[in-house]
Amino acid sequence: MMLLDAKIYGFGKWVDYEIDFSSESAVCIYGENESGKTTLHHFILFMLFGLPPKQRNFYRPKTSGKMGGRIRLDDTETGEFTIERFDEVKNGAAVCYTADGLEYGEDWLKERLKGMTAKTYQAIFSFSAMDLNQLRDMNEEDLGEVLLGIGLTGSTDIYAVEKKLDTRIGELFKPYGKKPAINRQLESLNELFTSLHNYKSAEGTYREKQEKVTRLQDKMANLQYERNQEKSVQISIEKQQHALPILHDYQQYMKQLREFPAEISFPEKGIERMERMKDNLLPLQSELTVLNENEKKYSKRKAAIRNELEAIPIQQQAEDIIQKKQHYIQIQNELDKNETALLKLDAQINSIIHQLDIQLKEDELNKLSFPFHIEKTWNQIKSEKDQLELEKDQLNQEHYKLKHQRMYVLNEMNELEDGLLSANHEKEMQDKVNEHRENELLNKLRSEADLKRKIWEKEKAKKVQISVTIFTGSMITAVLAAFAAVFMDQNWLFGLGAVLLIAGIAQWIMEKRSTASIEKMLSVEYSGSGGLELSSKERGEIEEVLALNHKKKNELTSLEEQLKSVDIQLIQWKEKEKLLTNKERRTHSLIEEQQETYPFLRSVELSFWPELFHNMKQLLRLIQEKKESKQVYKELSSQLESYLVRVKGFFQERKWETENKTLEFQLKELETFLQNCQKHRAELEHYENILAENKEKQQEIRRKMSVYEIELTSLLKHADVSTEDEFYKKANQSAKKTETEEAVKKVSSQIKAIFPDETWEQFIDAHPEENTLRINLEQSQERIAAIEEEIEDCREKLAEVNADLLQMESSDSYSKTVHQFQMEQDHLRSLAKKWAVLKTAKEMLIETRKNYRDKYLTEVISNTSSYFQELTGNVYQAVYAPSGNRPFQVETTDHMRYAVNELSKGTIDQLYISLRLAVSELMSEKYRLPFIIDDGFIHFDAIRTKRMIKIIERISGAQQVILFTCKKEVSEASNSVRVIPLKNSVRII
Amino acid sequence: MIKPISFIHAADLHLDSPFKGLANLPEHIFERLYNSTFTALNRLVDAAIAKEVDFVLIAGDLFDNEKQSLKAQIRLRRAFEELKRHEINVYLSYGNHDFINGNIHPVTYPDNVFIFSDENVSQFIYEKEGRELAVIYGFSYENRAVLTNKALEYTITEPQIPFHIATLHGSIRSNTEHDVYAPFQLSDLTRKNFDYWALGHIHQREILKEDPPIVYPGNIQGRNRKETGEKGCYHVVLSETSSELSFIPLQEIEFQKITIDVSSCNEIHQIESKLQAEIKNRQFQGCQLIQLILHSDQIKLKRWEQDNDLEEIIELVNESFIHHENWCFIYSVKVKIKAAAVDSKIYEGEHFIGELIRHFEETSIQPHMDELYQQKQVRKYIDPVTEEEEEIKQDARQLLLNELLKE
Repeated sequence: MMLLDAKIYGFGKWVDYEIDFSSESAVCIYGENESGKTTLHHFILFMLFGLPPKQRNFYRPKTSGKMGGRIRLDDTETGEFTIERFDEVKNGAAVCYTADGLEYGEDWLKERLKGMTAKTYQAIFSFSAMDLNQLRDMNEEDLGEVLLGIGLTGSTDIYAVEKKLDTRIGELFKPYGKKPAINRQLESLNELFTSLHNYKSAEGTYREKQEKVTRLQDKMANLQYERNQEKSVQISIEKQQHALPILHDYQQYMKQLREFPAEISFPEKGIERMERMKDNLLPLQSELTVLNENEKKYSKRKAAIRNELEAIPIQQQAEDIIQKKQHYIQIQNELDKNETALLKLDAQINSIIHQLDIQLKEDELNKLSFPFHIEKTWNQIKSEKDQLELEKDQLNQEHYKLKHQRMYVLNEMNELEDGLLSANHEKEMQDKVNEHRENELLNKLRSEADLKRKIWEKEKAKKVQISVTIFTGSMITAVLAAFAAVFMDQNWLFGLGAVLLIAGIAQWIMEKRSTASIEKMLSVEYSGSGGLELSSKERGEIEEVLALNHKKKNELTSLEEQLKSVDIQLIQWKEKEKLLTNKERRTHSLIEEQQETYPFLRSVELSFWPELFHNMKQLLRLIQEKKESKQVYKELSSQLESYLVRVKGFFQERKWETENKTLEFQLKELETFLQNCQKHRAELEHYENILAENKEKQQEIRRKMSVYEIELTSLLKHADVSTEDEFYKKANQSAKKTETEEAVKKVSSQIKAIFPDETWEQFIDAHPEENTLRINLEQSQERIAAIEEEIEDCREKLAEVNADLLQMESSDSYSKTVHQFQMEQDHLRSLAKKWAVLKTAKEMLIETRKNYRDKYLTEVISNTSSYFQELTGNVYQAVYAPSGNRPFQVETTDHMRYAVNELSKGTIDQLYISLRLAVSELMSEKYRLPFIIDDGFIHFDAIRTKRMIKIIERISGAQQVILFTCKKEVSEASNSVRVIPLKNSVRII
Repeated sequence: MIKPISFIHAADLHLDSPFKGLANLPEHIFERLYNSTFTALNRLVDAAIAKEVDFVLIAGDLFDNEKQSLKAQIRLRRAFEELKRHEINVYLSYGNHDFINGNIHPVTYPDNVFIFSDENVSQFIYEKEGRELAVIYGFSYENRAVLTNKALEYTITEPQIPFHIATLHGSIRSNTEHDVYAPFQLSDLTRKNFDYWALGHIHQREILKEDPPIVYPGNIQGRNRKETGEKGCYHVVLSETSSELSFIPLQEIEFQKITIDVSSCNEIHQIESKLQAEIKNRQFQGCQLIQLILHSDQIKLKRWEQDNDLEEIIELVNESFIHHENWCFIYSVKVKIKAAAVDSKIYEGEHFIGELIRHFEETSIQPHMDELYQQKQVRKYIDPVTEEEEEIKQDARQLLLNELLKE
């Protein structure tokens, strides 16, 4: 097949370009870089094999809307035909026109190309500088293999594909690996399988367990049945045990029953009736007994009291004494009173006597008596005496006065006569007289006052005396009252005493105070001024002396007269004195007379006689009183004495102890005695009443008792017994029999209750023994326990199994694992399939390579050898394909062999080209497709280029060769090669 | 006038039997999936209760003895108990997968469940309100296979009872897709005067005949890529004169097979968007497990596949759908390159590729497979390559061609 010419409508930079490939030899298309050589190369490929849309797009010309072209070919079989392709027509599909004008499609073209594809074509029939570059990038170690691949296919791909496949297979599976996907999957599957197996065997036990459940349930049912059986046995034994004492009782009762007489006559409810009777009787009897005893007791007591009460006269005497007791006490009191009064009187008398201070004895006083007029007499005497005294004093005074007057007058007259010498002296004299008079007056007053005091002193003494008397009296009375109170036990007397005392004291104090006040009043002194000498009075004195002198003259005259009158008065006085002395004499005789009659008066001043009389009179009255009191006392004492004698007599008569017993005590004893008597009498009466009552009661009770006794007798009779004891014995017997019968009934009913069917009779007949029963029971219990244990065991197991079953039923582990396993298995399967594909691909590739090698390698290698020899200028003579362990080798003309990786780059390039040429040559025998070299030996030097061109020239004899080059020397290396310069052409169009 | 009876007809529950051909499912999908047969069963129960049917017929293959899980039977028991609570009887027979002698778990079902206990055709009488309303006939597989024509053994007893319903687990003699058990011919069934033939065994639902109804309800949940589309049971109302059948879908997860031409996709990401659009367009109801078949005339699709690029794209697509309530998940992708894309003449070439292709055709790959498939552990889990050989070869060849002819 040869390319004749091509027309490019539009492809890359080529638009409407025509090119003619026809040549005797090879065609060299020369163009500089970027001149469109490669595009042209691709156009050829496009025309032959088509292009995918994307690449078509790539080559769409920028300057034209059209993309496509046509190429004319000359095929040895078909002849000339044209391939036309347009991007827009049929998706870039080829339209082929044959010389005979027929139109064919892509398929026809493919047939013509004999299964060649762009790829295979390129691999075989075209090579470029790029391929060499690729080769340079190869790993040295792989080089041999790559070159071999090239040797086989003309391409480097096989080896790469093989490698890739190997890697991917390795990623999937390694026989002893762990990491690859399948290995891992296997691992996880193994795990899953194991757990699946476990789950499955676990689930496999379901049936087993179900069967176990059934088995256990059956077993349990059996055991339960057995247990129930055994339990009924146990119950029966227990019943027997339970019934055993009852049975014994039964037998006992039966035996007892047989011992009783067949019939026992006994009144219905005999005991009860008897008891009732007795219940009624007994209290009555006991009451009767009590009453009897009481009767005796009371009678006895009564007699005793009677005995005591026999001495009634004594009693009367005693009563009499006691009755008089009051009288006695009265007497006693009066006596006491009397005594006190006497004492008091005595005291009074004594005090008065003492007070009066008269020499009189009581006896004398007793004899003394005053006539009724004596008082008057004494008073007259006294007043007469006083009168006399007074008159006497007056006379004395008159006398003195007269004397004095006379003297005085005489003196005065003398003085006057002396003083009458000068006028001054006269005056002085007069003054002196005046002064003298004044003094005299003062002295007079003083003497008067003295007199008054003297009178008061007397009164005072009198008053004190009275107050003392009253005070003493009241004291005494108070003491008496106190005594009386003590003795008579009369409290009011104390009060009285206290009142008297207080009154006495008060009176005394009052008296004292009044005396003091009066004394004070009287003690005022009359002080007069003594002869005061006044010097200033000298002139007055002279005047006074003059007056006095005058006066003295007058006075001397008057004094002379006075002297006369005084002398007359003196005579008068003398007469009066005579008269008085007579009167005095008479009164004296009267006093003496009285003193004669009452001598005690001698010791008493006359002035006190009236008072004395009163005291004496009182004294006499007291003495009289005393006499009377004594009389009364005497009487009373005699009465008392007689009473005492009587009491004593009574005691002596009774022979009671009287020694050292006071009357009061004796009286008290008597009173007690009387009270006792009284009490006894009352008791006696009481007992008599009781006894009467008692008797009545006794009779009543006896009546009641008789009713019951009759009935009792009838009961005894009915029971066919004579005594109560027998009755009770019989009653007991009868009751026991009934009881036994009851017991028999009860026991037999108990037995029947325990053994509801007829077995009880058997049981009674069997006479089971307790020991045997107990042993049987124990055995039975043991058996039950054992069965229970087994049941429990069963139950536990059953629960366990059921729980397992439930767990199994609710578990979906197995189910899930099955699914998982399935899924993982599927995954493994898909992985395995992937592996299978890769593996197949790899194995097929290897096998094909092997076949291919077997088929073509020898030829290829021999061709390669010759090309290689030629290219290297006979440096190398042979190429050896790898076989076994031997790598790809080349041999020099001197028979040295080198492995490809020992070769230089240039040599490898030559070897590569040789291989390509060899393959191409081989293939071209069938395909005869043009061989396209796109700057394949750009790196060659001139010699090698020449050699190469030579080869190309040679090849082109059999096969069309199109050589693209940018090197002038290449284009010019051969004469025969037709050179088509591109540059110009492009310019042209 | 006889009251109509109503029942649910289901078969081939295959409870808890593992799903085949599903690898690398995300966890939540796996969870849903592996519970899906139970979910479907629950839906069946719910449907029966909701429709207030008289009884439920299950014509065999309730579970798989081979991969029998206790769970399957326990769930079954619970379902039956639930039906019992609603006084719905269950008449069931065992098929070739749950044949009586192969049952390893003795689970006792409640007493509303009536089981045909052996291989002899027997019958149960359904009574309602004291009236005998229907006779249900059937038999169970005692062993793995029943190869006789059991259909011939069905005869109506007690013809006075209004309805006669036959259950049969088996297939038409001519069926080649499945193992043929209890083989019958349609005429064998029509010849008898039954009111309804409740068939089981074939997972693809099919009404073989309308009058009387001869029905395969199919299984209730698809279990592999072949069992696509809705799966469920039939709700049947039989009256004296007519029969009404309505299909009730029960499946939890639907298997889908989607074929898409991606010739127009020059770049791999275009495939992604195309797939997205395609899936959205379909407006699936419920959860979907999708087997994707990509067609293209571009050989690079194959390369994308082989370079795992396609897988990544699928992952992306899945990623966008698996989290939906009604998720979609592409569990498998197959690439088919139109013939035009592959040079058929290439094998003719003298060159290496031609040699290679020819070599593929001439050589068995089996010996090479042994390295993996005969590996001790692998052998335990997967079967050796047999059916798939050609497919593997194809893939391998394609792979090599792609690699060697790469531009």
